[in-house]
Amino acid sequence: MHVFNEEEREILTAVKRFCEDRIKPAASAIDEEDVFPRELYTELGKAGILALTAPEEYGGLEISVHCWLECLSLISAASASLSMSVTACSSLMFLVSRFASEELGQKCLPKLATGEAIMCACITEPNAGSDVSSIATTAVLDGEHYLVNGSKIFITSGSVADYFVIFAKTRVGDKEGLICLLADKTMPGIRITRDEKKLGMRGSVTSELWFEDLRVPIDHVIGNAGDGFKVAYNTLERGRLYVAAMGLGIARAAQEAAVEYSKTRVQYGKPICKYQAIQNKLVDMEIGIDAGHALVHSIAERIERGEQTIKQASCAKVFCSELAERVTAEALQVFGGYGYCKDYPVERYFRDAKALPIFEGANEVQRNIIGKVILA
Amino acid sequence: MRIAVFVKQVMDPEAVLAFDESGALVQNEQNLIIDAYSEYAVERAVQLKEELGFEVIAVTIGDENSIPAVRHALSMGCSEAYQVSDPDQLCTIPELKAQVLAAVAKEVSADLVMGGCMSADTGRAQVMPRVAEILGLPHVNKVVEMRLEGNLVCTKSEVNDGIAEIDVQLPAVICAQEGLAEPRYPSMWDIMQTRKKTIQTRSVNEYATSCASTSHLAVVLRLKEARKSGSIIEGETLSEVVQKAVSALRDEAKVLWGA
Repeated sequence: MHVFNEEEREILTAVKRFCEDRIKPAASAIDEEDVFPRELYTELGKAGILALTAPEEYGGLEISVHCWLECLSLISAASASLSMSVTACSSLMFLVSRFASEELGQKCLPKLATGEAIMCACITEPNAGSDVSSIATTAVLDGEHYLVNGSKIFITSGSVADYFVIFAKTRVGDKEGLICLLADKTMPGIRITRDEKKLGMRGSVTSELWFEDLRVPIDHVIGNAGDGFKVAYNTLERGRLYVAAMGLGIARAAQEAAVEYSKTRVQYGKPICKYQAIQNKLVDMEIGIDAGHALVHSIAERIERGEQTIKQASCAKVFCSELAERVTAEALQVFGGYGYCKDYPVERYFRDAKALPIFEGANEVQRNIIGKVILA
Repeated sequence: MRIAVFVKQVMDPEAVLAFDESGALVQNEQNLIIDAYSEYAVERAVQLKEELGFEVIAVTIGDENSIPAVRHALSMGCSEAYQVSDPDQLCTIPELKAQVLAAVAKEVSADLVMGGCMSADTGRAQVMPRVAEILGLPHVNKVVEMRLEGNLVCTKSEVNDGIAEIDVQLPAVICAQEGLAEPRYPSMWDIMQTRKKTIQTRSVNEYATSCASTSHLAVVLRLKEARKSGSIIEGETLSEVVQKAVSALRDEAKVLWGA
């Protein structure tokens, strides 16, 4: 098990404090108003929290994967919707720093690390989501530019983004392949058509975009033309681990709320935590969270050793997202009627958790990935 | 000009308190944070540094668990940091702690000494006035506003039902109350940068004289007993409720006689 060093402990203390003082008090309003909290996101940037994973040469602090997973859990426990934007940003910073040219990195990473700019990943389409190979958006080489046409849906941070990482179909020689391009909002041809109204994760915008003759310079290709699958899968692998950490954060927040409530809610003359039926729920939550914690940190350990973690990241995503669903549902049950009302945050945890088994690759697809590996 | 700011690491007020078999509070690095009152003092001192270019020296006393408090003060912008190592926790006695801190304030040639008006854990509010006494300096307690005008520290201080405006000559001792300044969040860059700075360490034995004369010790700590639940007196009419209340006060609580 990873033991955090003094420096990491200091970072975690500072992040925890920021979450307690700044994010947690705002979380309910973010959910209620369903508006992206730009100011709070900028504050996160100023505090250096968004820079934690960026490489040093781009103004980042390059902390360990272990430490970042804990940070994500803390932010998710305070506001899962804000952590959606943070998670999306950190996955994309990983993508850019790993696959893009230094010029592209310099163009956007320092601004992403300070929260001055936001980036979104444009993968999902009406007929392509988990199935990346069905992407229909096209990028056609036209002199010094790629001409991009098509539509994207369910794009996290789409309508508030400054940079767009677009996955599109292209021709490489006589073959068809996937290309990853970096566009920015100043380029004509990007149209935001709407933001979705969602069950949970409200305040994290989920947008529908259209690209109409969007001209992206050829030096804005991330990786090589035709490398899109490699870029996407490597990034999704990291993103899935981040979603697992989000699940642990939401589950922890729900469990702690349920524990506290069960100590104060008295029925038949004693606090409900004294009843075994309630205790067992709380204990099962604890066991699940501890197991999930051990799982994500074992994967972080592999990443730090430079190992591939495609199967493991899928395992963690499935386990922790479904754990978050279960724990939040049980926590709501512990709260009884109060849990069903908006006076307590547990109903928000419940709604937010429901997103986790769906996005960043549905859990059904994750099981296919795991199945393919164990049956190979 | 040099400002010495005393900082303390305390139990996180949000942490669940636990005691060992001897009745001592169980402390570990997980449940300790910088004291909020110290932090107000640090923030104002750092603001003065930024406005007027002063040197700010953060000072703490304690075992190794006290180091994060001065590191935090450095991350907030203090120029230097001292830790007086006290592994046996001798300086939990306010009298001794004040002696040591006064000696350190002299050693760093402080023109202004700042700290919290009390600490969030013990709340004894003894150390800063004692430091002022030992150094023979004027001090203002519960300061919610302060500014410097030449050699004068102009303060607003909280008193029972209002605010007292008190000016003192430098050198002086100023005790921060909530509201003096809104502590900043050190950025992650500040935190990482602070790791490279050295904390100067001294031993408590270099300063401590004697603590035997008038010292007092906390023998045992325990949680207050939980408040017993009350009861609601109900009745059809007001006079019935009053009757029942009087009976309860006379027969159960036994605080009324002859009613």
